[in-house]
Amino acid sequence: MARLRIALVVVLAGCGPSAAKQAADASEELSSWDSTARLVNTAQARGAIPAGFAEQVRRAEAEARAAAEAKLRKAAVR
Amino acid sequence: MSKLLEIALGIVTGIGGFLEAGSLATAAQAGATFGFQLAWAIGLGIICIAFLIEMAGRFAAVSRHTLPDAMRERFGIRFFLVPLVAVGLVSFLVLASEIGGVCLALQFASGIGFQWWALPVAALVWLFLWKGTFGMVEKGASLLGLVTLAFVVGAFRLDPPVGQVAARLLPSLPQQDSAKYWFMAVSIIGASVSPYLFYFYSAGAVEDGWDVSYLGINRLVAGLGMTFGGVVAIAVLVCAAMVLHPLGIQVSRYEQIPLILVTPLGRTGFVLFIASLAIACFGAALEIALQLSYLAAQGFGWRWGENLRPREAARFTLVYTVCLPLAGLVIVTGIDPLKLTVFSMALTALSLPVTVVPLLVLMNDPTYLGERTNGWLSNAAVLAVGFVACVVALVAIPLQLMGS
Amino acid sequence: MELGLAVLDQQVVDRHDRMMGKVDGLVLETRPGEPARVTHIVVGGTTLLWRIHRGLARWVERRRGTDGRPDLIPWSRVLRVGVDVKVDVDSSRSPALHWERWVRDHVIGRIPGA
Repeated sequence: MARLRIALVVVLAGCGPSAAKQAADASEELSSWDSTARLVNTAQARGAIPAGFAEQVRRAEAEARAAAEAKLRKAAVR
Repeated sequence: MSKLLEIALGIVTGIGGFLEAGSLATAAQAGATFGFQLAWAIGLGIICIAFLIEMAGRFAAVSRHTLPDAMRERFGIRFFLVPLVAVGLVSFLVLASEIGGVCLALQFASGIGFQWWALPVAALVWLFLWKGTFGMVEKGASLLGLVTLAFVVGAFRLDPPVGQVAARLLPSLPQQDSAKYWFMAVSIIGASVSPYLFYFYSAGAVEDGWDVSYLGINRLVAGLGMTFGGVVAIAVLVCAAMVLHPLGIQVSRYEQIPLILVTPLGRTGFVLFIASLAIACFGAALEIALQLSYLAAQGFGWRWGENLRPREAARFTLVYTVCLPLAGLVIVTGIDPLKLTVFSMALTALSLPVTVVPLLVLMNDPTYLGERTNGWLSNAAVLAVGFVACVVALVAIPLQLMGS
Repeated sequence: MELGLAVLDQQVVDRHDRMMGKVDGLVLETRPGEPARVTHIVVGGTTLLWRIHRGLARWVERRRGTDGRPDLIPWSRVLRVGVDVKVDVDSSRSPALHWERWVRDHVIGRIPGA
């Protein structure tokens, strides 16, 4: 997945600054959420956060991912 | 009450009352995205608000006027309408953000979506204002707000490189992502220099019957209260910089922010975060709603006073009675509370010249202040920050809007 | 006359030191060959609206009728001018507080605990 994202960014770099910037931002957001998910799992595993809250973060993550992936697709089309 | 106790109480109130939705969200975002680099923006904001608070207190104590009252008098109704509308609109958006903050804290605790909490929270804020006295609102909320010291504890637990943090208190240029950097800097300043803070402080000085003998207290409370309060905001930045930044986590949703206290303090950190968010935002909502009432009532000459019974100051009461449910409705719409908070902070910065210049004119008018008008330093500090923030906001806000 | 102008937009309090509004307007008397004099201070009503936007003020007056008239307080009743303007009037009966009483009776007063 990470390799696909890097490939997309490289390809889009040729499409003009705005599209590349959008793609880079969306990519950054996706990896930010990858890290968030790992941090949340670790925290939940040691009982630092309740399951209910971990669920809320995962729901937020899903929404944010959907938005970022849509942005990536839009930038790729341009 | 002895003067020493008043000073202590004033400073403690400043610490407990400093953090709210705006300063929390902007500091967390800045720490996550840029590490310690934006610490200077918090520092600059603190210096500016400390000067403004001192001025607001000095004005009330010497002239025995509140700010809106004097503004209407000095500028006439047409010019007065400009800061009135500007401060009113910006404060209303910030009020909605604070209600949003409380709602999110309740969502984190209960799992029930924040939109469901909006009207009940607005109603609770209303009830506290309806039944409460000024002292209760001002001191009670801020004393409870001391729970936000949890961020200072968390920051220490994370063992930050203090030298590096101190170095970042000096302004620096961004290496990348300039638009985002300056937008965040401007939002941080808007969060620190919110007009509702000094309007509320001035109304409080009049409600508490301050006179010329309070000028020394005023200076201490303004300077130390804001400085120590600002330390809490810096602590939030440090926590985010130590926990989120190294992992490449950028704050785009409120749900990511509690993690900055969870890493150093575990489950206790999680509970303390929820308590801090709820109490800090609730206290701010109380103050902003009251401040909107003061603004209208003092500007139009209506009866006002939080210590009066509602029927004794009907129009004054009507203002917060109408604003609170409206602000609650903004949150019910499901608008992203984080985006709302950060944008209203940026708008605050943009409107600083309009909200601050009338105050500066008054502060240099001997008719109101006799010999105690502003020195050149106070004028320079506030003017510089106000105009620079506005100019940067003019550029950064559109860029941010285009980018997202 | 100068005192009259200085008094515009100042807070007005009644004989019991209760707030009753701001000096929203002044009534001047002009006589040939003599400087203008302030004869009344005007508190309340649509006076303020006239200074902001005349069209809006006219519209409001047409719909409102005679309620909420401003209070014209003779200059002779001004007791003191300082931080505020104290007048020898009982505000509980003054038309300046018409809207305050209306809000109290129809809105705020109806909520329990007022």
